[in-house]
Amino acid sequence: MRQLGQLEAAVMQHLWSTGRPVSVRETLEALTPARALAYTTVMTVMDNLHSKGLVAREKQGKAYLYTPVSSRDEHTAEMLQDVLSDSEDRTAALMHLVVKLDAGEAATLLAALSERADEPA
Amino acid sequence: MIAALLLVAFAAAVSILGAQLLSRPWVMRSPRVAVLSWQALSTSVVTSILLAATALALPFLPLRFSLASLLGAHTLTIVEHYETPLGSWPGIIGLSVVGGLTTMLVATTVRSFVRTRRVRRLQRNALELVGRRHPGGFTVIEHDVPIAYCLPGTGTGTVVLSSAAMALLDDRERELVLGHERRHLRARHDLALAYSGALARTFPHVPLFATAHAQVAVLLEMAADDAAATPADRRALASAIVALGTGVRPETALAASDTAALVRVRRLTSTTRSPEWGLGLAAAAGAAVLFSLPLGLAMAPALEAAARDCCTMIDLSVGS
Repeated sequence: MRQLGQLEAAVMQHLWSTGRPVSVRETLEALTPARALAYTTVMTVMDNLHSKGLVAREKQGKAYLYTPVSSRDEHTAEMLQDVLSDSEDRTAALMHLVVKLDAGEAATLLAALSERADEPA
Repeated sequence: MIAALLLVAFAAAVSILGAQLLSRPWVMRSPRVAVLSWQALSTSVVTSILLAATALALPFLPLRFSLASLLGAHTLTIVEHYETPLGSWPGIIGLSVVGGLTTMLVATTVRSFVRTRRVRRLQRNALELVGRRHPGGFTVIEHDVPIAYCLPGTGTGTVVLSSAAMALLDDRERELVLGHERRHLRARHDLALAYSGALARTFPHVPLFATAHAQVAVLLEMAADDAAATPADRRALASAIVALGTGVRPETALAASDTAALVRVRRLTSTTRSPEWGLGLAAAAGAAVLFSLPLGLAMAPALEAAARDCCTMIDLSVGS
């Protein structure tokens, strides 16, 4: 299961880095120097990514061409929405170092820091 | 009847006094002791209310037989001591309170558990796609908002830093931030937060639990600050908090502002005082009272009944 997740990640990295529709064959060739993979394995992984809604595909001749639905940045931003939102679910699931400081608070904090900067820490 | 009333009065009194005592500045010196005190206070209040309801319902509960045999008293004498002049109504109310509160608590706890697990699973899946493992033992995501958080659960959990946070912090600050998050993970601070959160969500109209939850959240951050930073490092950690808190670009428009950070930074930059043993001892004594007193109040009528039965038997034997 864990290995499958890593493979999905590797395929997504490849799709994100090429930036154009990619076939299973091309993906296999890009990944094989690093690991020994069967064509069917890569096809299954890409099919999974499609059913998860992470990639779109269109038929080109006999094979499908795959494109990521959202860019890597969009994907990260989407994930961080959960982290940054103040919902009840988020608060229970994660612990955050510091949420956000407004301008007034920031000024007070900077003052507190510099005020004592000359003292030995 | 009197036991139930005393228990409710006890719950009300410790809610007010306890919350006042735990809002004093001493809590900043020993955040860990303060967290335990808040949890003990909340637990004691819930227990007192449950015991009060149980005391009212006792004449109708099978528990009366076990209590009688445990204390060597007659079931009838025990029932007499818990009966109220108002007939069976207080008993019915007591039963529904016990049933209702227990059901609500279990339901909220299960629901938060399921949701928490779902959010964490989604996070882990997403991190697998967009995150990269740093040799320092944490996960880095490419993002231009400086952010540091931890994802508890599944073994050791994960600390996540955004690339903007990496750029913003120097090496020492980064190590302190990592130490802070790892402390959360190792000490399972998420479980403490889940407990106070479950109470706050189950009883949204009880101010004590809302206050306790908010306080526990801040105090756990302070506890992690303390574990991460030696006295010499405290200023660096404070500046890391300020950097991460202010480095956020305005267009991200986050939901909440973090007033608690202000208190933490002031605390980290002020002179350090080592936690005092006295505070821990006082808190332990307080917790002992918080747990034994409600139980004593609930049991008092039964004990009195047992004492009376015991005396009657002696009287009988003398008489014969």
